[in-house]
Amino acid sequence: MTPTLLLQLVINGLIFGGLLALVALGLALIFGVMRLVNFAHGIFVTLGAYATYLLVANLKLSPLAGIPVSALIGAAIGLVVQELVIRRLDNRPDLEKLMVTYALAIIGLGFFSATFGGDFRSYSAGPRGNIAFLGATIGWRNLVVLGVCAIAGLATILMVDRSRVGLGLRALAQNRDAAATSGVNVNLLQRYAFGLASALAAVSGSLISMIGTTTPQVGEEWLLSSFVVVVIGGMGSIGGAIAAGIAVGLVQSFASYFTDDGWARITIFMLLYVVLVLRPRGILGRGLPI
Amino acid sequence: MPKVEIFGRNLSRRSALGLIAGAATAATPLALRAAEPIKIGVALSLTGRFADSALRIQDGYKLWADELNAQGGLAGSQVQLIIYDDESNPDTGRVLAERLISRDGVSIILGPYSSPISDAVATACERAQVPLIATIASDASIWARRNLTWSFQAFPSSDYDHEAFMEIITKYDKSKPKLAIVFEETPFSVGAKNYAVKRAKELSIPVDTYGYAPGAQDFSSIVEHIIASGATTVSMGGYLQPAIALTRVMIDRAYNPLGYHFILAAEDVTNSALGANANGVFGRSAWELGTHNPMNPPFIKAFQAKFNRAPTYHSAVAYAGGQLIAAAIKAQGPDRTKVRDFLASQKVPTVLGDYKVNEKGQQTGYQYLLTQWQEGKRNIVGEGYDAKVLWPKPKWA
Repeated sequence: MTPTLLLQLVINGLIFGGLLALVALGLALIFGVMRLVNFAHGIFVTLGAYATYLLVANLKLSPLAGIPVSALIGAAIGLVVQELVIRRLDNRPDLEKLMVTYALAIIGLGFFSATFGGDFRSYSAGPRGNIAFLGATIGWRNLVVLGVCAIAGLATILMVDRSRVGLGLRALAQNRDAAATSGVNVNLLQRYAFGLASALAAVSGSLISMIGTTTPQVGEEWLLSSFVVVVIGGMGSIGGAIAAGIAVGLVQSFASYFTDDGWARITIFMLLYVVLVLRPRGILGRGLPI
Repeated sequence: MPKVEIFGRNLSRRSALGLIAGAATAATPLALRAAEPIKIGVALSLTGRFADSALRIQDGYKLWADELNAQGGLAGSQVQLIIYDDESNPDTGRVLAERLISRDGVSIILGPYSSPISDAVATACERAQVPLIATIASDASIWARRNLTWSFQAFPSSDYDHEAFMEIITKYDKSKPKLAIVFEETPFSVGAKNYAVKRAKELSIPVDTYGYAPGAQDFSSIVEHIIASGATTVSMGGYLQPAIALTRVMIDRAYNPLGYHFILAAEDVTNSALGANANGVFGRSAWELGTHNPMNPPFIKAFQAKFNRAPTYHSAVAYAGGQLIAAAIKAQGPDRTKVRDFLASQKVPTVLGDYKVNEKGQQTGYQYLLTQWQEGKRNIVGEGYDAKVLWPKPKWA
């Protein structure tokens, strides 16, 4: 293997891993704060993808404009879902919560299928060209993906670690009852967490539409891999989700080069198994604190 | 009660009226049977992931049936299409085929959309001994791995998916550049790859093959392998969505092949998905508006008059399927066995070309056209067509 090929595989892995991490970030946030395994997370990815597609196809805007628009739409709809559905599950058994989020996922899939049909959507607009870096090549679209993932990840970590809101989220993640007793507005913070997670998912969908294709199932396809990332990183750990996402992306890149895509997926699940056996709480699993 | 004498017997008027009514009823079915329509069953993906394409197939079937009925139908009967929604699901397609046969009593089944659903429907047709015209099943392995005697492939075989492109390579680059064939691990794509490898050997084209699992999202490794191998021509034999994903990776990676072909590039969505980067990309097509076929102009005119838009190849292959039924019934009548024998043995001109199958029911008559996107327009290239081939492919925009 030449150094150039090595670098290229690393770059490819970082792009895929960055997107995985962004999807997983929202999942980890929701689990950390609300102790909710959110099967409906994938529909926000799909939402962001279609929102960007519609902006490009109908309004002839650049897909870059789709990134903030998707974030806003994802956050808005996330807030509505949180208020109308999720909040009412507060004192329900975990299995019930799981089933409700699964039902939401099915409803979302049906909505997108009915609205957009089964065929995939794609667009050619967006950043063009590529740059050479130490012999490797990276397209401008992929650079945008990397950049947005890095900024979103860093911003989320800083918000959780340094802001008052983040302090509240960490308190909730550590002990919900104690946080409530201490005056933390639990409902408000849960709303915030769900909205933020949905926004992150929608942004990842926007980026996926830029480098791939959009179908009603696109969110679900990324969701399974994201669950693996969250478990490997540690349920509820934001830093863990990011680290695990990148790790899984790199494993995927190298494994699929030296074997094939099928064996790469098996390798990732083997990695999950090893982590669960050796460190069941995940690489950085100890709750929302980074 | 007054008496009536019928056949030497005195009957009351009531009895006589009853007798006359009974005779009329007995006679009526005979009269109705003579006018009973010829029922043709269709399980079609009116919803689900194949809906966009399948609805265009429905247009082709309906045009054919309406046209035929306006001309008086077939063998003195009108043609009646019975169409059910298979929801883009093979199992549902098979169940619907069984329903069409056992409950609706159809004489023939016209093909569903896609090879997997055609494969499933063929199972029902073989069991019930009802002819199936698989109008849009390119996967020749359906007939290769089973002994189908009632099902006939009415679409160009997927075995030839890469052939026209390979012939272009030998014509436009005498150095015989290395070809990378990317294929999906599904029967039709594997079959096409196997045939292409054999053909490449005959044409002295060095070839490497790269497979991916259905549903694969990441093609960066395949592209790295292609680059590392030194291949300068690429032919992708999978579905449209992974083909677009593969193309995107090649663009981002600044890998510019001399020639690039993917089998479904002739679909209009290629142009919207790739924009200027579609320029120079080859595709294969069963039918185009500009196909040199004397049956084409009246078909296109009739389609445009009915639907107010130009037909796509989906509608053309559907119409061709109908033409086969018409030819069979005109020659042999609506008897299922005779229709089957006709389809198995005869050469029939249609809008797609000359239909002909081999002893296994695989299509040997229809051939693919080679197309190339040129400045936003899809042109048929090759012998007999005016458009010049763009070679090498322009660099990615």
